[in-house]
Amino acid sequence: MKKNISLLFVLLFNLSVIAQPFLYYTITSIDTSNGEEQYLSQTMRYDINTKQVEKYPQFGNHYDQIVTDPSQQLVSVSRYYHNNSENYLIMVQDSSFFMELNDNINSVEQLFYLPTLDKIIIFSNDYKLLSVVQISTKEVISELIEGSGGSSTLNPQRFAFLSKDSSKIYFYAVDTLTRKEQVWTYSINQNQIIAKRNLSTWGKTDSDGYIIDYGKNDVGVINSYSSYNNLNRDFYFNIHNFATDYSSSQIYHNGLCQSYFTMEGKYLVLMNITKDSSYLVYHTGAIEIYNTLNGQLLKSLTLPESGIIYTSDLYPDNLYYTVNLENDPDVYVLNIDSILKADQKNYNIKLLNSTGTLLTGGSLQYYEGSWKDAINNGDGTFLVDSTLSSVSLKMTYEYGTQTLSNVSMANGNVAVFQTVNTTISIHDSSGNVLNRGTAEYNADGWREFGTMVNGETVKELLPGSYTFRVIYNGVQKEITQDISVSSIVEFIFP
Amino acid sequence: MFIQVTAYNQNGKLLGVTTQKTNKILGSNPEFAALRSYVDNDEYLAVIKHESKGFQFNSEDITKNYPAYGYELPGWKYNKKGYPAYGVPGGYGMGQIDNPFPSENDLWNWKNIINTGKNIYNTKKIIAEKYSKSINQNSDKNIDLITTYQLYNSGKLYWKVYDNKIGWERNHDLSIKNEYGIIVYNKYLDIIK
Repeated sequence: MKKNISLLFVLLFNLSVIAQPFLYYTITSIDTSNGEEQYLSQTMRYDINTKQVEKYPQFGNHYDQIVTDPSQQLVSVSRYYHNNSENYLIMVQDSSFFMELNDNINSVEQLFYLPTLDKIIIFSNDYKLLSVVQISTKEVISELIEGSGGSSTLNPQRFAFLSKDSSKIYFYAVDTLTRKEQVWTYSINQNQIIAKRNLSTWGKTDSDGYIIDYGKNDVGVINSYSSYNNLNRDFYFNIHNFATDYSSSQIYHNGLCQSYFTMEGKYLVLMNITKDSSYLVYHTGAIEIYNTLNGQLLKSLTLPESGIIYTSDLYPDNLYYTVNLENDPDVYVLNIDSILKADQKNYNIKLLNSTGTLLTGGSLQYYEGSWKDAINNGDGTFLVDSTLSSVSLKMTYEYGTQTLSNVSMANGNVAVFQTVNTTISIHDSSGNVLNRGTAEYNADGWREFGTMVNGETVKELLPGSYTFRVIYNGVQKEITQDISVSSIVEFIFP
Repeated sequence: MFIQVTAYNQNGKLLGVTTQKTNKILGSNPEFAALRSYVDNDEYLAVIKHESKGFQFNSEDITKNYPAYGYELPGWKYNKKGYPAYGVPGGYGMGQIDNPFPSENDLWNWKNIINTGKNIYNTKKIIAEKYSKSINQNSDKNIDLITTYQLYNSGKLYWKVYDNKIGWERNHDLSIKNEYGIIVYNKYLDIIK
């Protein structure tokens, strides 16, 4: 069978030297040969590299569900019967490891394979049961927990995730008494819950609720959401490191979406989701990528709807958006750095200070029928996503603006805005330095310029003409001057 | 089959015993009106209509074979007319009872299997209604009914609430093609029209 793979972006490493991620899934057919509707499920896997589809596992009869651990070294398969199920663990590289799980495990949600600790951690039963398997003895201990979550758009689930040193697992939980949404910390060495913390501590204040949409390596994305029955569709997202308690700023999104991140939380990826009439939740294909350092929207993408996001720790910085998995898969590899680098080839704009160093704090707009915001990379560089061959660029810094007209958008071009180190000095008619006085400049209103030290104060401003004023001993003086002609503004008081 | 008849008088004195060899005693299906009257519950009647079309027993000799399941059933005695109707993976009779496995009475007495099936159905209905209350969401009879039907068939809820940002969702563990809850619900709507 011909399978398509749409590699949006070239991966930066040799695919053949690292094991390929498989996409595990279930197909279902309906057999009506006996006049009855019989649902037949079969677990499968799709090799992204070879594009081959195969029944997996190849032994045994039909299975209804397959779940892989993030490293893809272990899978669980389940067969459902009326009111009960059979669940098995299978080592992908060692088929001799085949273990039936205890009857109290009904449906496996997530797995963690930890060979160095001789343990397998299993979340099951709607995250209400946590089980630890000793690999060498196959002994299992279980405890009831109050975990929660479940996403139809993500495989495998990421509501529970390991710490970076693999000594702990964090998972999303809802306290049954208080209904507070929390993150629980489970110590793998101590085999016990060691912390329960409210997500509202780090989420947006006064939200209807909080959930960890996605997590890995100590880091989770907290979704501060409006409830499904709230007409208000406000959602806020922040990346939080549960080991260091570092939180990014809140990023706002209007409308229901599912959040993911890559590069250990550097990029937040928001994908719109919606529900059909049978309450089936699916991705609409609208995607936004944000820089979590400054909250800037970096890129918007549109992909076909109804894709599933697959992830694998084999390629931790990739999200695999997969559509039409059961028939003719299309896999869109979302490597955010590659996406942004591809954009940067188009046009690159920089804001430099007077000494030639990149300067943050500016904002850029370009004219395409109207003034539109350029993508701010947060490091003093900007991207313009325009199909025009030339545009006008307007940089704003410290309320001052500078416009460059008819800037060519040809590949490889670089546009530079450079600020002027502007000095205001005050002295008397004899040339003596005056140490007091307040200095201001007018840029869309009067702004504080700086504090006088030895009769001078300096500020980086975009080139252009400004009006400056200084008040000394109750006397006010104003000077209008183009700082690109002369960067020293001199006030003389009697 | 052998039938033994023993007669006693009013004082319990044994009057006589006789044994007679007979042919097989097989089942026959009730008329629909009698069935509906006995079921006395249109919600569960919809299950019976879907599962067996109201037949407790095969109405003719049939050949059932399920190669996809690995079942080879040609020549099986339960394929014969008058035997309890069978369907994979292990259901028998009007409600295709399989868990708990039907008793001899369930297999051969259609009224008995209706009682058993109704008990199972009511148990599922309680689970569905309890779930709606437990997740503190707006619910209605239709949602609970569809959920009950799906539970009856697969032991799984048709809809679940995973978090309050989305509310009700189709159960992720349920195959997208498995619409049992909806199909039987529509049959229920047809019945009560």
